[in-house]
Amino acid sequence: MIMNIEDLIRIIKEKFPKQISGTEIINPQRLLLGIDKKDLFKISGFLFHDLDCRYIIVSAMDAKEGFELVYHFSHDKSGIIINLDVVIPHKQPEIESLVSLIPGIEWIEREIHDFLGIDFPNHPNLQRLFLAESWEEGNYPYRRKAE
Amino acid sequence: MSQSKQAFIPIGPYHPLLEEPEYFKLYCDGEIVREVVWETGYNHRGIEKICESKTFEQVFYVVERICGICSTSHPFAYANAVESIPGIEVPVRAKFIRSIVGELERIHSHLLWVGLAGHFLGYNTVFMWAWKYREPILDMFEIITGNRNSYAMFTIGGVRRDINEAQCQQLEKILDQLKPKMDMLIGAVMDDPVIHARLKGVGILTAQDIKDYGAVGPTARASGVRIDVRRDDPYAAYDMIDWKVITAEAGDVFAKAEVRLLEILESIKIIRQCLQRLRKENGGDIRIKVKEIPPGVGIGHAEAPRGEVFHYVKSDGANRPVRHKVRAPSYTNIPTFRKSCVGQTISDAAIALAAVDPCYCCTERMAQVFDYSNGKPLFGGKELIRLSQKKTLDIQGKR
Amino acid sequence: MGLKEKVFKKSLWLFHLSAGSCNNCDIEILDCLTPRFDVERFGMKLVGSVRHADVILVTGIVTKKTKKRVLEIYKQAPKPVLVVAFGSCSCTGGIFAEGYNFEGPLDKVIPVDAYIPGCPPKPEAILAGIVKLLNK
Repeated sequence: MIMNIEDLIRIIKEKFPKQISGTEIINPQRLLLGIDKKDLFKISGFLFHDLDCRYIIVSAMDAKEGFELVYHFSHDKSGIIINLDVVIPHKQPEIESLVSLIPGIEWIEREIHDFLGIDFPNHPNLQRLFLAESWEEGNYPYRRKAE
Repeated sequence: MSQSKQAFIPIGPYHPLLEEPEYFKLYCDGEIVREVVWETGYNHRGIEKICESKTFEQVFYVVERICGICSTSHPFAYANAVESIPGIEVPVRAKFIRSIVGELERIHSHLLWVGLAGHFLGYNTVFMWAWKYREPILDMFEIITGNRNSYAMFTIGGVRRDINEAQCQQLEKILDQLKPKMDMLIGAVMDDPVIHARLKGVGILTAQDIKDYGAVGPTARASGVRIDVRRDDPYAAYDMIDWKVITAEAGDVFAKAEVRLLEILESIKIIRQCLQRLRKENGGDIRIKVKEIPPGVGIGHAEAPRGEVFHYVKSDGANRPVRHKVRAPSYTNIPTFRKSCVGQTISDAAIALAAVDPCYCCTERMAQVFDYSNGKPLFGGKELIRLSQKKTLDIQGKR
Repeated sequence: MGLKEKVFKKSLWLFHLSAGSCNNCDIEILDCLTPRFDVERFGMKLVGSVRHADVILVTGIVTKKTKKRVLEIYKQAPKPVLVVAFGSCSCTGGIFAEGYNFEGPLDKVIPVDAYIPGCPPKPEAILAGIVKLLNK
């Protein structure tokens, strides 16, 4: 049984030795892994199925270096929250949809599409979720205004 | 069968069934629901964006107003997130007070759900009963925090108000009176043949559905998934007291009701222990001063009545968050309707939708209503009876 | 006796409309119906359709998405109808006034007859508000 955060890091790194670009232990219960967007599906699948983690949510923000998406998973047996940090460039805002892996992720992807204008290829129903029908296209409330 | 041949029943956006604006489209084949489409956004107020323009301290009062029912859970999770950035340990006394407020909220929220569930079933006796017994809980809140809802108790590094000895006694007295009433209510609801007939076998969610949709809280625990943030990743005082996680196996609406009702008793147990500890360790700090929040990422979660509330706060060292992400439990609980409603009859779909306790919305205090002309509190119980009699007489007299 | 006095003299039927609220006000409205406060003894009750209502209680800010619906519901209501802005948000916009999805406080959208401030108003305040409205 996995007990602490070092064991978790070891297991993940054994499986994905090259794909993890950054490992940050925020505190003994919070782990942040930097990954590339092409590995997202594989690593999420490993966390979700093999490590039996629970999907929590995806946070997205408009940072200087690009759109930063953080996929949060909870390892409930130890209470550790594993965060996958993906940065995608401003010029090409799209990332693979995880709906085929985690059905519940559909709504948050729609929300991020609403607010930040990020595209999720292979999403079954990428329609407007929260914003009103009259909201103008191309105006994304969470994007930083050009300075 | 194609969608166009199915009958379409709208529930919402304004529907007597729902408290809040929400739109469910039920596509039905005869009486059987074949597909449910969820439209939302009526209640969207852009809170995350507002939070990013407030200071860390002010955000507490904004997140409190995400949802009026969970107005402790959101500050709780936010406090866990922000305090984890500099690594603050709050004083022990504050931990107990936080847990008391959190558990009181659990009781009031579960009673609220039981009442509304009764209302949805057309069983208004349960509604009236549950809400009647909810009032003493709101009184307790008023004693502790000064308001019935939106408590403004939390702050970075502790709580804003202490609970003194006299208040402890008052609270314990109310709890003593409440316990037998709860036992009676729980017994009455769980033994009622009508409720059994309506709820058993309706809206079943399996453990796999729970995992797929990331459902949390009583919704997950009723399907035999033992997750509870209070136990898995203890915060506040939950690792210092004795309590247990309630689960059920069946996964239907009745199991959810059972989990919630038994959790009320568990919460009463927790509050009693916390009050005892508070009285034993009379005195001590309730908050520590926090000067600034360093750059970093704070991730906090807390177990709300409906499940896990999750807050992600990113700080760049300034006095306000750069990014604040909130995930309320209903966000992952509501989509389970795809599994629980489809295949049910229309009349069962209503309670199956309500079974996850959906909550769509998710500063200065002390309000008592005075008549400004004479400074006396308005409308006591006797005054109300007198007024209603007067009105009856007026109507009769002038007829 | 004017039309208004005649219409509003006896039992008021309330329609509860949550424009974009945090639930607190909605819960307090329901609280008024339950045994401790029990407004039904004054003949007030919540009705399911606005077409039966004498009073519309509106809680929360009007969001961009609900504005159309609020106007629609106001149009459906039989006139004369009393509109009550319930809680700080619908009175002024409150804490949400600076959000991007805010369309305006209620009185910018439909005419309002009474304001009940508070976050949330206590049930006593609700009763006080309704009584004042009736004596207007």
